Amino acid sequence: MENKEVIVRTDKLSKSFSVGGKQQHVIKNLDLEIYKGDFTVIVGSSGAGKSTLLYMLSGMDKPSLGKVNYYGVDITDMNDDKLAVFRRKHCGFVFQQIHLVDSMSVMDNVISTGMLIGQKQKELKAKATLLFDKMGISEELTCKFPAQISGGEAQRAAVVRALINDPDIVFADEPTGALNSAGVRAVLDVLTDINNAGQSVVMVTHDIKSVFRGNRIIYLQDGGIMGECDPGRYVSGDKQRHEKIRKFLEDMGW
Amino acid sequence: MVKLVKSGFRKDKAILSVFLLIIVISVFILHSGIFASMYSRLYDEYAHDQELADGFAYTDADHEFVESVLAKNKDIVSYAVQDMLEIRSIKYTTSRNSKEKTDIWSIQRFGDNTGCKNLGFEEYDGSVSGRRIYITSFTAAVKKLHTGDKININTVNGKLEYTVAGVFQYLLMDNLYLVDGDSFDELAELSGSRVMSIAYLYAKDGADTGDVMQNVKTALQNGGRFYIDGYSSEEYRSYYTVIVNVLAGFMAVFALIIMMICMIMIVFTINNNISRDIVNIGVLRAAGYTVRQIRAALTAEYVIVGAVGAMAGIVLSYVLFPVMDKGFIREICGIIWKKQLYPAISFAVLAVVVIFMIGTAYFSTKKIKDLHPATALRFGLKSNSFKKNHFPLSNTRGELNLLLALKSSMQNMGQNVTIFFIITAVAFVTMIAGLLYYNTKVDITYYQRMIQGDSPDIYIYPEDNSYDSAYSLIEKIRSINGVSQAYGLDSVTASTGGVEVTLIYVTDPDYVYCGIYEGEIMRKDNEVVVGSSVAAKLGVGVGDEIAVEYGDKSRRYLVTGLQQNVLSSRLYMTDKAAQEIGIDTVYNSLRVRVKNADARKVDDVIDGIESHLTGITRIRNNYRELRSNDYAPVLAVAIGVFVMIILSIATVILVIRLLIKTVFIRKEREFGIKKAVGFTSKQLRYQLALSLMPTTLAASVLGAVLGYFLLNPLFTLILGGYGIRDANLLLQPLLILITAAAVTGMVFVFCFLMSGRMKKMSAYKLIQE
Repeated sequence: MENKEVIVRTDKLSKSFSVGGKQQHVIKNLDLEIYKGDFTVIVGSSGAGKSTLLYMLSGMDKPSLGKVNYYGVDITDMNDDKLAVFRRKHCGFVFQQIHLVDSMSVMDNVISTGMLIGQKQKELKAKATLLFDKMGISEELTCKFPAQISGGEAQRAAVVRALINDPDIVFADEPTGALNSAGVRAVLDVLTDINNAGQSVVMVTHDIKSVFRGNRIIYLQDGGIMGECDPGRYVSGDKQRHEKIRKFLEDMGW
Repeated sequence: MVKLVKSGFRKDKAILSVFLLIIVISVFILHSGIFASMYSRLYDEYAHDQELADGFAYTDADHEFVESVLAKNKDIVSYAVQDMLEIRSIKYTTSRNSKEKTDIWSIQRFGDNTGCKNLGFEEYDGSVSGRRIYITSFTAAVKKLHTGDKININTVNGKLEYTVAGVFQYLLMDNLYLVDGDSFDELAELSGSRVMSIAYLYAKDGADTGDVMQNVKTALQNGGRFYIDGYSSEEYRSYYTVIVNVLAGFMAVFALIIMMICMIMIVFTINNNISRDIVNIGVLRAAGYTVRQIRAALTAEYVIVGAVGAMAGIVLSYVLFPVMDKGFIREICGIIWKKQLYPAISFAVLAVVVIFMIGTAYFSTKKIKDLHPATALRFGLKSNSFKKNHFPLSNTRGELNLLLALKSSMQNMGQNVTIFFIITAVAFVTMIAGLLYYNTKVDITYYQRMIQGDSPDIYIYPEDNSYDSAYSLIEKIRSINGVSQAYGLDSVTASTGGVEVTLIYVTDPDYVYCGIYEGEIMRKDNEVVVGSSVAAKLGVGVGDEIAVEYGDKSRRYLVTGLQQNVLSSRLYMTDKAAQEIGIDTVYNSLRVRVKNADARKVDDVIDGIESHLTGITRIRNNYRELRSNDYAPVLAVAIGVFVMIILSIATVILVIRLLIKTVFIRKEREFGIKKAVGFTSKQLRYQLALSLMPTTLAASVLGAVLGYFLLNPLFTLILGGYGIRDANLLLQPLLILITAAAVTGMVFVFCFLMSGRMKKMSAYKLIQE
């Protein structure tokens, strides 16, 4: 593990919200490193602070205290627009609610994201077509609006959008939460495939099938890391690996 | 039901507060516009209260002769004949303005009959010592004078200092000044002006005061070629109120435009809110609320806002109108506003607004009329009918923000229609404002001609006003460098077919502008151009003949043209034609136009005339006077232009604010997603502003073009009752371009600036919301 390259490092990261005039500490003094090439899964019970942590790691939300360093650069104090530029260059996102822009076709959702970093439209179209093809999305579907395709198809399209700018990390927030079982499998396979191809992935989930896909599993509880497990790369049908993860989660009280 | 309304208020308070503001402004303008249109009625009330004479005539005949003429007239119930000094070029300064001015003053002795039972003093100071002078409220407003202020009169034989001892409302002559008896004699002596007789007449009930005045003047003229002038109170009422009525007309038009904008925005907002709250509506329906109750609750929000806004606008109008009256309206119309309640007007305005709100809001909620609760809960009203993918990014070349803005624009047709109507109205108002500004500040010629007729750059008052001397002086003036035209124009009162007219005679018809809208200018000695109102009264047109009477002479003239300008019953003829009926064609002033006139060139020509010519008592720089805000028609337009520009800006700000609020509600998630994937706030704001541009540009051009083509018809409509048949104000096509660019730019800038909230929201929060 010591040879792995650190992409994101947090330093005493904290996040608190004011609820009814009372401060609620969602993340508390959290130190964490995310490594290049890993499929990091952050798991925990509801309200553990998983999504909050993910959005702070990706520069979508700002911590109340502490720092987030990205390849050694502190992104905590960047302003809103600088963070947007940071995200377009370095991060890809897959959300639970899919969050494709309703008013744009599937292809336009992807191309507009690519154009943000100055990629040429022609090259983008070729790259997107290739990615869509890999994700099993036909050309016909790419011309449709998000509301006209299924949830699974839309989420795979969202993965294409996340990958179009060759990000350093893909952040996935419960990407299977709104899908049926066939959709869940398809999306997890896509994420596993891209990770196997070298893409770093950080995924937040509370779905056991999703947890199995990670090579590094972090258990979050009450705003802190309660435990960590390194079961190795995902191999379909590897019962020993699955058992190890199951045991880890049991130990964590899940 | 009450709870529903309360909850609606809580949720929509930001948007409702914007509507409240729009309604307060529009009702304030409408209510104040109606107030402004009431000065004619107010004139009649004051005339009744003050027992105002039906007219006055002044002449250089003596009292006895005047009284004998009046006594013979059976339509006159009573009369009073008094001394009056008319100083045609009195020079004076005031303690408020040290620059010497020259005016025409009519002066009477304080205490003499002035054709009204009481002077209605607005200000009075009995403790003033020295020479006292009493001025009309019109004069006080224009010259910014109050009791205690000094007026220094410079006569050829010495200076006299007066102290203003009173300001009174007088409705027959705006330029009447009252001085104490001793001062009157002293002023007559020092100024060398002849004391004239002024007769105030009270006509029988039912008698036509115009006819009575005409008969009196004719009888005076028949008695011996006297200098005679005079007006009926009806003529003075029109004179006092014409400009303020134009202002009132414009205010009413603006108020209606704002109301229309408000109506469109309400339809747009309610539709957006219904889409936003459709699930809640489904829940309410499921809980047992009827559609009628839900629609009534939604309608009630806007009706309450309308009623409160209307009441606030009305109250504001009651509070601010007296301030506006003192501030500028009195300078335009000279009548003091009566502070009192006008319940009929106020209730009518309130009722109109409430009815208008009920209608608009109820109409806007019709989309939920047949909504089934299950449909609302499961599917809402979203149709996602993005049937066409406009400007697909994979095939359309272009800059990302521009392409996304165009896509967004094409997908919001409802919003486009709303913006189109509103911006068309805003551009229309702005264009009208621009054209009015152009017609008063850049080239006032046509506006001035419409209001007053022929308008030179310079007036020259000769020492010798005889016909021969005038021609000789005109020749000399023409030789001055920079002079384009020099000519004589003067007038007498004559009549035709029993209608009293101002007969204008001229040296050179081709130099005179008389607003001919049909036919052509008179050139021969048997030709005449007739004013629109005279032609209408006589039922004559081009090619007909009319008999013109002056004194005991009469002659027939061929009508070659019909002319128009505000408040005039005029005839135009050459001076030789005028001589045919015995008019002594003297020229009290000569007129000069300057080549390619501007302020400097006019000054240069005046310098040239002063240094090269003699036999001139006074030179008036009309070019500068007309462009000054002291000139009531210019002041009225300046106020109108100011109000229109402020209104346009305020409307754009309010509409953009409202639009952004609804767009934020509708597109919050989309903005969040875009921010998450790396769009900056600046890019999103730029896209939002840019997405409004195609519609805004089209609407701005349309509004400006409409303003360009409708300015003159609008003026014709408003001034139709005052003799304007076909207004011909200058139209500057370049202003279409400037207006379209200004309005489009304004929308872009305000939209960009006012969407700053985007900057404060993190992508995470926008998605969460």
